[in-house]
Amino acid sequence: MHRRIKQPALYALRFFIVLLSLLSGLSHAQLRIEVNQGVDNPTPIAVVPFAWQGGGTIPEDIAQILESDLVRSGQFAPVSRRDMLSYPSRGSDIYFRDWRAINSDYVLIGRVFEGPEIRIEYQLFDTTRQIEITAGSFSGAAQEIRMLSHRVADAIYEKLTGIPGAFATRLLYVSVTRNPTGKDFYRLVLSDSDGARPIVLFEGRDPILSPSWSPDGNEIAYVSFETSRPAIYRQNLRTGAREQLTNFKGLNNSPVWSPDGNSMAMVLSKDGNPDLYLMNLASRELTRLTRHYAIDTEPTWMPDGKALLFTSDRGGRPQIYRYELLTGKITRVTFEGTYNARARVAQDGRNVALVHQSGGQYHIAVHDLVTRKLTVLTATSLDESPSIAPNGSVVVYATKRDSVGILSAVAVDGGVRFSLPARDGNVQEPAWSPYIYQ
Amino acid sequence: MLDRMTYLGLPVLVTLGLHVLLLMLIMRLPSDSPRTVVAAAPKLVAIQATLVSAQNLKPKPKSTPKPVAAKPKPLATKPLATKPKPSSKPIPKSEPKAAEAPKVTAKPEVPALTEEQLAAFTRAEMAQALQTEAASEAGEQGTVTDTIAALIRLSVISRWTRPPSARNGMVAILAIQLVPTGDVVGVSVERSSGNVAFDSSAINAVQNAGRFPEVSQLKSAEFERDFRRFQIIFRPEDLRY
Repeated sequence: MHRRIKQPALYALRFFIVLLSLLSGLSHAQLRIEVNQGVDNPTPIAVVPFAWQGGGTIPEDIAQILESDLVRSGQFAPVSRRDMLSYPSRGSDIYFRDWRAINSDYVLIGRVFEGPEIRIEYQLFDTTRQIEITAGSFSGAAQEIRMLSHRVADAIYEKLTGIPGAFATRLLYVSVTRNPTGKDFYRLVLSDSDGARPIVLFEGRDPILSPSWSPDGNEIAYVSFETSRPAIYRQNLRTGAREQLTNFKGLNNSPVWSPDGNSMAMVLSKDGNPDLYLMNLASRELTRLTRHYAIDTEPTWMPDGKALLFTSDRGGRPQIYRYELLTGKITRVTFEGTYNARARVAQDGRNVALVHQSGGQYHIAVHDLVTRKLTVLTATSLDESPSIAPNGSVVVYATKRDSVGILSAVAVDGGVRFSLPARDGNVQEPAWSPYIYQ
Repeated sequence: MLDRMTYLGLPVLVTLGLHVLLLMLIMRLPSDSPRTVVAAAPKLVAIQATLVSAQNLKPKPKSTPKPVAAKPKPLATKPLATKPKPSSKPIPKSEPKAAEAPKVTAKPEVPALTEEQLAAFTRAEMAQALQTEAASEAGEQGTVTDTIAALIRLSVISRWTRPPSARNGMVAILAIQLVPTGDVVGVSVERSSGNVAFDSSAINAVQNAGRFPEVSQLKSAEFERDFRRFQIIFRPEDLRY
């Protein structure tokens, strides 16, 4: 009975196997070369000066802004304008052979229109395939022309790299100038992500510390000593409204907004020594998170809002620990070296930028939460306060050059380092904004 | 019931086994063996040390020096390895291998190709080796194919810039068309990685190479068989993650 059923099945199987062997023979007939490495050189891109369709001269060199954005990402190498054989502003004017001749993989062209609003149109071409890859336009108020340019750069970056650009974002930092009288003067500064257009949000003779962003980018929080002891303030960037959140005895420090925007983690020492607390922003209710005789400080949120990373010397030396909000469980995160502090988690929830000490020098490093590998990114010696771009590609940090505090940035893959222009004074504690346009 | 199962099941198993054996035999037949070349990395470190004979250029099946010691090689390279080679400068075969072995255990990571290494491993040297090889052997087309495949591979590696969204293990397969001069006349995505930027980076690597001049040294039959149309599989293993 069974045999009678099996027999044809066997034939079918046999036939199938023969067929398979024939097919596999066919598919193997073609040579296949495996490439499993690359060199990851920056991709050459030509950013052609944008054509200006308005009166007078173009208010900003948009192509220059785009070019320096792309170069700062470390993934692109610009083609010098002097090498360009023409400055086309329309797709039909592009002779791909000319751009291949100067080894440009991509050509970005565009036009700027003046009207009640400024409108920037752009087109990106692939010179090897000789096709238009993307095109688009952004418009806005004339004084926002730099931000519009950054948004073009974001679009180009996303198209070419597969991850969103973070050029149309902002930085918050503290600048300290020493007056001839010897008294320090503190400014809380807001600038574009490239350091341009700095605006002073708050200033005074009293120290300003730990600026941080609300998740929607509309508000900021920071510590000010204006009442002669540290207190945490929040300030709305649109309305300018300012509000004092804490006024406890001792330390009031390191405010960081939760990813849902409803609460704020902070460090208070009102009950003894510094511990982590959570404030419900609606009710102002405080919850104590850690309770340890060691110092717990510098909290930062995991992007899912379920855990915090923080610095603690409960193991004898400062290391990064993780606090689970649901269970209150605390686990140690970093083990490499004797000093790891001031963590900031990238949006992917995987890369953690931190300050790592080795050989008596303080470097910016990235700790991978999955592989638990630590990669040192910087070679300078007094690096501090890392903050990660919302797309996770670049870390901005404070460092010293000729004993003056400046802002520098480094790609998370370690590829490129650059300094941001600082107008005056010592610059400290940069905080990279979340995405502003989405 | 159980008896009957074994009674019926055994012949099925035996038949299956026989077929698999037959299949393996067919695939081993030397007549069509060079077609299944997976020209993966020639171990650069080893080659740099003793680039004398063409024998060293024989690509290893895979560049990943995983701690697994005995990895099955692609079938095509096997018969070549066992064939005695009447080379003018015979080098003890075990030597480069032996030099390679401790490297593998010492560095479990994929060796990143620095540009200096690539530069050291010049096209000229490869081409020279290729010529001596072509001159010395008429019957060993497999080796010539392997060498040219390795050259193409290096040429593409040196131009492949992965986007930051690339991750180890992503796979894109491109179909490449060449003309006998070695010029690339067609590149298309046979299988997408699902990441447009990744696919584009692969296409650009091939397009920027533009031409694989070594191909022009091939006999026309060899060219038609292996290089008129072939595939390149892009699968990064050296990224941070």
